[in-house]
Amino acid sequence: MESIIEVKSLTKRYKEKRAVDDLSFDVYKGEILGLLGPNGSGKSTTMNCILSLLNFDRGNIKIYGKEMTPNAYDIKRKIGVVFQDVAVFDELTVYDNIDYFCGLYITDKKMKKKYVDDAMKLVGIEEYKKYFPKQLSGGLLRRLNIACGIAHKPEIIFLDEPTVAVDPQSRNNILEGIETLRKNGATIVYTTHYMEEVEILCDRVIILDKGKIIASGTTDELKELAKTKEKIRVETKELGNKEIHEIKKLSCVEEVLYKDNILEVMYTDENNNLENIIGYLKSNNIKYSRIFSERPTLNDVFLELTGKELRD
Amino acid sequence: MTIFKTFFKIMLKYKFIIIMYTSMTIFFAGMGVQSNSSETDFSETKPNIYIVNNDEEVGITKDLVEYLKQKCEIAELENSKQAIEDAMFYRDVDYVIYIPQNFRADFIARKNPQIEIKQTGNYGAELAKMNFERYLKVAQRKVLEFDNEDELISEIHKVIERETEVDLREKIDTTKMAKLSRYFSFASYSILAITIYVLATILAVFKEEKISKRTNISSLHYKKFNKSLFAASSVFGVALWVVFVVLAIIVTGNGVFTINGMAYIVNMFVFIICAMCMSVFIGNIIKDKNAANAMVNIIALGSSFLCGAFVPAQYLPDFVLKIAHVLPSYWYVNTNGIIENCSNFSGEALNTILVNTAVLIGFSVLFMILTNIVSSKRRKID
Repeated sequence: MESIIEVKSLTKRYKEKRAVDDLSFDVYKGEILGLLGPNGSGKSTTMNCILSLLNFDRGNIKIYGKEMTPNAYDIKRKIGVVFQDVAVFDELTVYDNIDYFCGLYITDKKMKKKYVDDAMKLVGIEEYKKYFPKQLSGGLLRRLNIACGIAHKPEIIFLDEPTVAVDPQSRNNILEGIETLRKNGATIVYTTHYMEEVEILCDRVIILDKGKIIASGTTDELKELAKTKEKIRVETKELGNKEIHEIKKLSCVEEVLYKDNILEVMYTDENNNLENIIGYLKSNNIKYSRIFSERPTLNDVFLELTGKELRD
Repeated sequence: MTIFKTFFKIMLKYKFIIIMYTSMTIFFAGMGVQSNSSETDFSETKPNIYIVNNDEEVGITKDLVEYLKQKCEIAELENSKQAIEDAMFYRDVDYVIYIPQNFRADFIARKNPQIEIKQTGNYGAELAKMNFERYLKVAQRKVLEFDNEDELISEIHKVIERETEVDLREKIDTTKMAKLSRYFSFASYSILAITIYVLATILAVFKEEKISKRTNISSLHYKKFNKSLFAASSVFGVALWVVFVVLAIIVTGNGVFTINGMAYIVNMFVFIICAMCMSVFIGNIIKDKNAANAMVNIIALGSSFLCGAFVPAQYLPDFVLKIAHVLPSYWYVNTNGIIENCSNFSGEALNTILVNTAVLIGFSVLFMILTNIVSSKRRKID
């Protein structure tokens, strides 16, 4: 795979604190790379360093094989950025806002108009083109923010938490839009602390904590890192200490919890666990109302690796 | 072109502010023009005097009395101390001349007889004193040269009736100039308010961190970006200047089409450049576009009060005018005052105008340097 962005030993300090600590990774053409981590883990700092919006103390960043600097205008032409904060002019309409940011890259009038129309269509805000930002809901504002960042049809797109504080309808719309951008050939770096989005969108994920990469790979590869391969929850009222003790002795059971009439059984393997537990309940005439099986999430991986939740 | 167009799109959002401040100039300067429009007229007046002549009314005594009758109004009074004092108290008489007995004989004999005077001290008394002393001083000088009384009187009249022809080669229409000065000085407030409000707000919008991050990451070179903003600001400045010149013609009439009028216009142009440089600097230091409104109140209103744009400088205390020296408006308003009273642009007046203009240009350069320092600090990434 062709590497488009190469980050080598990137280190950024704020006084004594290392915001980014010796980070190295590549971004490959056409993929969506997720930078996942809790607030303050260094996701946005990494992105700002890559974009030359921040100086860094050590390391090397190359985009399309060329060193990225504030004056690398030929590289900048191929990049689109959607920042976490909505960055639009309150004084301009939706259309004029997209037209302005697109106009920073595209000078041809006809082409610019088409690009602006395409961007509005992609995020679904065509009917609001004459509205001013203050007249838009939070979700629509986020969509406008994205349209402003991607209107010039960039090859590389950085999306910094684009779905923060967005209603479900707008979130789905944004995620569909990102998927469309990837289908159109864009390479996307997506920072978020929403693991669900990463699981839906990203081809590869880098998990950051305290400025360091603590794990990276595909979502399946990352889930492999978790000790718990499956978690089964059973709603039942008829369990005593004897039964709990017996369940602990079943094959591949790592841990058993029973609280508020909910039985949670954690397994170190993911094969035949549901069958085994149902078999045990039936053979012991234990009645149960509902039963759920859960695969480990990225949050579980993060919890095991760092001892804290992603959203802490 | 995108930035140029966007500059004016944003400016249009503030059109009501521009209209409001422009209307204020028309209204207040228009009111000032009306109050200045009463023309000054002169009428000849004579002081009221009373002569108590204790000498015979012949010879030089008679001539003195006749001369005073020509130059002054002789009050008709009862020749009594009480009547004269009452007349002076009620200002019916400004000046009383007591010609002593044997005045004529003593004067011809060069004994320098003393004439007693009583006066109210008002303007009429001063005028009467001036006429009386003029005659007496000429007579005292000529009596030393001529023994013959007729000859003496003839010589006295040759001197006191001598007139000098004055040819008024240049004439300033002071009323018209006062109107113009009032308009152009008041306009300094509106110009400052509009430029600070519009330019500082627009620049603050463009330089807002989240927006400028997007601009910085774009493929547009920052020099090109700055050039576009400069071009748009310049067009705005020139348009503002043209509007205020047209308004000057509408409000004050054709006085603008004189050399003085042109001088006012040039002075205004230099001031607009200075106001723009100041506004660009303010736009670079304020962190929020809403702060521009506060800046208008502090700078435009403050400097207009301190520098004589609202209240003429001659009514302001010295310490206020000393403080005002650090503000561009002071030099602009000061130049307007000089232009108002200037009949020809030469000598000291021209020098002062040039110095004031140089100070305004100096302020502009200073603001440009400060803007460069601030914006280069802003551009530095941490």
